[in-house]
Amino acid sequence: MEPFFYVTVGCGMALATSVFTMISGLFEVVGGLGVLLGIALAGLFCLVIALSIGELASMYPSAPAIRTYLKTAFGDRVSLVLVYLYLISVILVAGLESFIFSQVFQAVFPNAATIPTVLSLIGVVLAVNLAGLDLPRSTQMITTVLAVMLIATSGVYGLVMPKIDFSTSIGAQAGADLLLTLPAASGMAIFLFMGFEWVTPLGMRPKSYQWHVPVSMPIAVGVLVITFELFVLGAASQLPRSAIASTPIPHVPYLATLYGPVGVYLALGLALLATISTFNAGIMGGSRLIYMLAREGNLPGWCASISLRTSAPVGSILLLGGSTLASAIVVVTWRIEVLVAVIGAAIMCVIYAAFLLAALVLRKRRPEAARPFRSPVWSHVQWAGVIVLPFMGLQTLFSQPDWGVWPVLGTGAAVTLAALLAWRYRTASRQEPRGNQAPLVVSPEPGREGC
Amino acid sequence: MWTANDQTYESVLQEFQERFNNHPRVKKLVQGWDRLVLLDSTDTGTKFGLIVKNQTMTEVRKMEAYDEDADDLVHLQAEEDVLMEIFSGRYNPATALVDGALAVYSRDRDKVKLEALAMVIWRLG
Repeated sequence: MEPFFYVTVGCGMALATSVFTMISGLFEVVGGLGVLLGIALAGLFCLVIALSIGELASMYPSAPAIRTYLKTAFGDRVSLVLVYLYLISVILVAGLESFIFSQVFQAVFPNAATIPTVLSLIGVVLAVNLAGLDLPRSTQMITTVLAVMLIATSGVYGLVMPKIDFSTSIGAQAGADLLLTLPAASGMAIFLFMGFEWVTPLGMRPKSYQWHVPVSMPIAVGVLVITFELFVLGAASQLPRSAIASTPIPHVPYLATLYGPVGVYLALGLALLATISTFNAGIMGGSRLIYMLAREGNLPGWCASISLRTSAPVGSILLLGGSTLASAIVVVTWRIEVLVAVIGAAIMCVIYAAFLLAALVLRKRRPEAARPFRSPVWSHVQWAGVIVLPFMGLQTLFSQPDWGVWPVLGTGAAVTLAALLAWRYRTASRQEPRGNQAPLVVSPEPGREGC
Repeated sequence: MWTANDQTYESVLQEFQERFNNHPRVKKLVQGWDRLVLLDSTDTGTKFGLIVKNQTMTEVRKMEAYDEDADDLVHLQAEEDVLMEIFSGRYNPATALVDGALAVYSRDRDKVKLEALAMVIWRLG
């Protein structure tokens, strides 16, 4: 079951409720055929990226992936900027995810208000994490399998029982138009795979990094491509393009069209499955990354506080929870869900290019290092990915002319914040001796033993 | 047969055991945390087990065999010098992990717990 667990982690981390928001955004920008091609192309890129990350994971087993790989390849400063950027994208997506959950919840319970629903969701997840509760591996596997099965079978069912003319949604975009919009669509579709790499620190034993963990990622990407393509085909067979593009939760009307009123409950079930696996694991993994950065002296010391009783990294969980709430409020207030997803996708294009480059750089810089797994992809293809991915990310920012300069401004703000954080904390941590930058703070929680 | 290097490494671990068992805050930290912490040296092949039971490190001993599927196993893998630096308090395990010098195969919470232990013993002890 071990290899299967890794595959489900990779799939489960990507299968957030907000992927449907991005699919809606894709339908708005390119139409059905462009969506299918965009997802396929993004999947192909992610396949190459997954193999490179697999190689890096085999070199540095159990390491906090992004920080270790990029630090060893590019040095402290550049890697810090990228790690902060990654964290910012995680926070943006977590905020978006909680908002989308509230929208699905309202589809079932129309009287539920958005902000209290968002607060409740974040509160429950924070409480679970603060209590130090780990999701059992079996639960991770079951929730992911259920989600994949529900999306894929609904896709097949929708496709074989079409309610509208398929070409209405798929559309007949002219060849040149399609080619022009495809880079942006592929960049946006990268968002759908975001998180497959979170499996890298979870290997259970040294041998896991020789084959199981590295190979699990491309398999997860493959499963995701098939699942998303089936969803798109199914949705395009049931709803017109305008209906899919006009809602941030297109899976709700789609499942309702397919199964009747039960479909709305299935959509809520899907959102709950995503919350159990993706959202919870995202908060856990993200807080662990913040904790590591704080321990290195790259974030304020209080972020490294832990609970003596549960060993939960209390400071980092609260920081991430608070930031997620702020991000959710911004999304709720200005209804910028697709914009936030697009900024997240653009950032991930750059981060994934950095992973590809890191693997190539380390082959030159550390040729002697043990690599139990080596990406079989031709290096010229990897170099092409390094160049093309940031370009795709940039195209993504201009995918919707209605947004004007907001995507660029938002991404610029994220990059500036990341650079400022890297400058501020790296300068401080350089003055400390090796590896002992931040004092450990053990939280003096009421009713708990502290020190 | 013990070599000079083995003795040095073992003495570092014995000293760590002493610090561990004499520290009142560590007792609170390892409440309900019964584990076999396996120290696996990648360069020398030496394996030491630190056995934590009932809030005490009961034993530090060389390991020949172990159950790699055991729930209570926390497996640390690094070069022997790195492990010595970590267990003598000269190398922050969190930094060692980030540097790729140390690999830890365990649940996430155990990683935090290990680091908290090291820091309580050397930084606030």
